[in-house]
Amino acid sequence: MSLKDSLKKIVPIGFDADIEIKAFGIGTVLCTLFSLQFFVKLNNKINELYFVNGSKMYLKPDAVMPCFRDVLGKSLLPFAALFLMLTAYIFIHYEYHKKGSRSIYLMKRLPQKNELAKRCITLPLILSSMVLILAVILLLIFYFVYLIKTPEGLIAVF
Amino acid sequence: MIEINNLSKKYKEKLALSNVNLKIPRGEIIGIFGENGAGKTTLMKSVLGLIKYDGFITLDKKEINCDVMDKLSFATCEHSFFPNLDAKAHAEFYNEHFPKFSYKRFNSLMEFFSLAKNKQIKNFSQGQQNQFEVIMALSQGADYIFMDEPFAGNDIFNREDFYKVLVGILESNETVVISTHLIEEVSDFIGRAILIKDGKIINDVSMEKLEEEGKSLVSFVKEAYHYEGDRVSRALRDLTDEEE
Repeated sequence: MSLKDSLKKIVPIGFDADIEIKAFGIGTVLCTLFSLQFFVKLNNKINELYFVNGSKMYLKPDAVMPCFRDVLGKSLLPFAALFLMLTAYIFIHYEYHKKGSRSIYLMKRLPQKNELAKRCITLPLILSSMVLILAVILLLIFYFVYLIKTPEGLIAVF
Repeated sequence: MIEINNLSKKYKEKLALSNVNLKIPRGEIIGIFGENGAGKTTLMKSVLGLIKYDGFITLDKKEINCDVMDKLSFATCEHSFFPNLDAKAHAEFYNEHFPKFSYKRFNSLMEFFSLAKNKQIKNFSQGQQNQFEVIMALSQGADYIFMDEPFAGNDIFNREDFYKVLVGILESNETVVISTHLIEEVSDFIGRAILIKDGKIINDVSMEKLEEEGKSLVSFVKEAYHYEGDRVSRALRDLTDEEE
């Protein structure tokens, strides 16, 4: 069974899921690019810890590194918006069954009681879960980089 | 048999159905009549589990749920097909989900009504969409076929053809429950007439009994609704008197 055929099984009958998938793809890329500002901010904060004397860099005696939460800031916030947007497709899938006809009546009459729920929920759940997983992976990567780059003794998570 | 006991349904402040009791056995063709808003559609949707209601509805003494849903089919003037799908894809969907779907009946009816199988249903005319809706309800393989105003928008010739086909193809144990305003047209082939007014069943009679009493279905309905035959002439008299 091709990917397209598999997709047809988990979206409302006749529904064009291309927009939803494109929104996921483009949204994920944009959110990821936006989140990379974390590295710029981290780099700037690290540099503020040092002063230059001649050709060498020295740690300032009163250097304080912002905690990880402050450095992270709103870098991953767009992922939350994307997550909510994709989750909203559950509602859009359900309402689709009332457009052009009332196929909702047929779906509610099916002997397979979970068919309507399956077709409304599955794809948004998969895509929004992937967004959530990506956000968590990036969060872990950012934290790991923060730990490595921050001078010992100056690490503060919160 | 479908048994309906103390069925009531309220929409906000309006009582759409009030303590309806009814039995629908196998093998009958039943006409449900009533003015707009009488409760005909609400009754059908309650039986099909499409809306919540108060009361009890059973099919062969069992609660109506997914396990018995394939025994009920529904053709509605609101249309329950998938607009973006063609007829062939609909047949495949029904065949996948309803174990008793009949390709033979589907193909025969599609041919009879000259409907294209590879055209999206949203591109059918209103009348063709009505026909397709009914074809799917009849082909599902259900024991009880509910039709809610299925002919809205169809011309008289299509309707007459359909009645003849319906009577011809139905098995003896198939039940059809049809709600319509076209009383005279369906009176020749229904076996029982149920009248609903203001959410209550006001009369339930067999066509055989009406025939014995020498009554037509139209006169029976008028009688039940206390139709005043002279109201038009009275109104005209009042109007012309006013003008003078």
